[in-house]
Amino acid sequence: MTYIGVEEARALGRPPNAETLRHPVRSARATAERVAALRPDGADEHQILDAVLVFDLLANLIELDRAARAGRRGEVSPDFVAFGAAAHPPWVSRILSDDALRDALLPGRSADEAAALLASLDSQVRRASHAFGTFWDGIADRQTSERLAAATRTR
Amino acid sequence: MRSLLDLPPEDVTLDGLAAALDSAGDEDDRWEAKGGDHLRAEHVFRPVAGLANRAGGLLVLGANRRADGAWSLDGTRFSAEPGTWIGRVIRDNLRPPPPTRLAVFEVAAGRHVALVRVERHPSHLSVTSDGRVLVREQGSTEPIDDGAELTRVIRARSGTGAAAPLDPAAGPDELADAALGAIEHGGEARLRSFIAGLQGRLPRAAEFAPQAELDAEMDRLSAVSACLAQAVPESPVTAFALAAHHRAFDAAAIMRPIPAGHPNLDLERALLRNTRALGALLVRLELWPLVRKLVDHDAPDPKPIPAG
Repeated sequence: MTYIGVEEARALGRPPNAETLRHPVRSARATAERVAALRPDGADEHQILDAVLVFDLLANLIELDRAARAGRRGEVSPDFVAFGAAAHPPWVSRILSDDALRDALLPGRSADEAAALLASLDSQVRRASHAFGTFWDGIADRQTSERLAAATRTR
Repeated sequence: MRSLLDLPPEDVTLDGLAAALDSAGDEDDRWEAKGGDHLRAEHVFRPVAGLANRAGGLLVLGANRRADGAWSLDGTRFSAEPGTWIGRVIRDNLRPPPPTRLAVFEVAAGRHVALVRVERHPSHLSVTSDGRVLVREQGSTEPIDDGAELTRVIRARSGTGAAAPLDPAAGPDELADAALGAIEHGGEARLRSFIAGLQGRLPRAAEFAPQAELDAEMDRLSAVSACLAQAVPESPVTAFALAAHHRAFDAAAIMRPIPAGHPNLDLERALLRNTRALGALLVRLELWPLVRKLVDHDAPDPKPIPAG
């Protein structure tokens, strides 16, 4: 996803920066506000933005899972990094504790395997954050972060 | 029991009812039985509401199921004259009360069997006095606890969508309603064909139409997909609608820039924008298998993120 923004910025002769990441996320929010069928739950702009950011996190996590199963190194496109991590920690914690949710998103993965994927994602998001000059304070709360770190050490 | 569905209750005899029960087996979406020595009001108005809010059916009061599975018309003791009491229970507990017809049989001194024929209300759902919408489903009467299901039942009752055509020029939200109508009326094949058409128009819009037209086409696909995801998340046509996004990505990947611009990027950008908006809805509705389906795609030409 980031690739498109970067390529577009280059095509237009602009250097890619944090705005390159923010624009498509805001654009998705505007689309959900424009099309009523995309917000049958009556979500407001803040709820929509949070859900877009969470979807981006899940999409990247699923991509890492797919890559791992295929034996390749996954590339992520963490546009959500430009908005900080406020929306994510509860979901990261839930991915580890909610078996049904985890099995739907990452079929067959244990909580420890999911933790390792999340740790890998967090690491790549941190690098993207440096590259685009944004601030990133981690994908999870302190307790969950320790669990992600432990999952990384055991692999 | 199905043989009794088309008969007026007053034409049904006690022997005829017993014979129908002999071959009835388990209760289903069109009939229910209640027995025991004393029936309470909820034993009447709950099944009546459940049947009325689906396709209508029959309620047998005073029938017990024996250990061997056979039904027995032992009758029950009503606290007042059976016809009067049953009518009052329905009127007092359901708004609006659905149309019903009734036959009462005395099977022993003070014990009666009643056959209530419940019609589907022509215009409205019947709601209990405490605000529940009950439906008969898979042999059980349960309250609707899912907003999407309630929307479906209401639309089916009001006929919304039945006459709405799948017009490719319609607005996204109008089209979402029409898609729902198509699903409710068994038009899955027509809907699949329509979705394939929507998807096929995206590359052409990216190459030859103004940006606003590409956006409108993209919004149509998203609106239809969102509506299907909410209404029929496990349907193959919903999976087909999500996969239409993947096929459009594949089409964008083989498009080339033209002197006037980058239609491949225009299409990819529109797809990503709307896929995110759709994905955000799936997150809010907690439709996790569909989140996986929406993301799960092997791009034909993976492009790495440029360094730095």
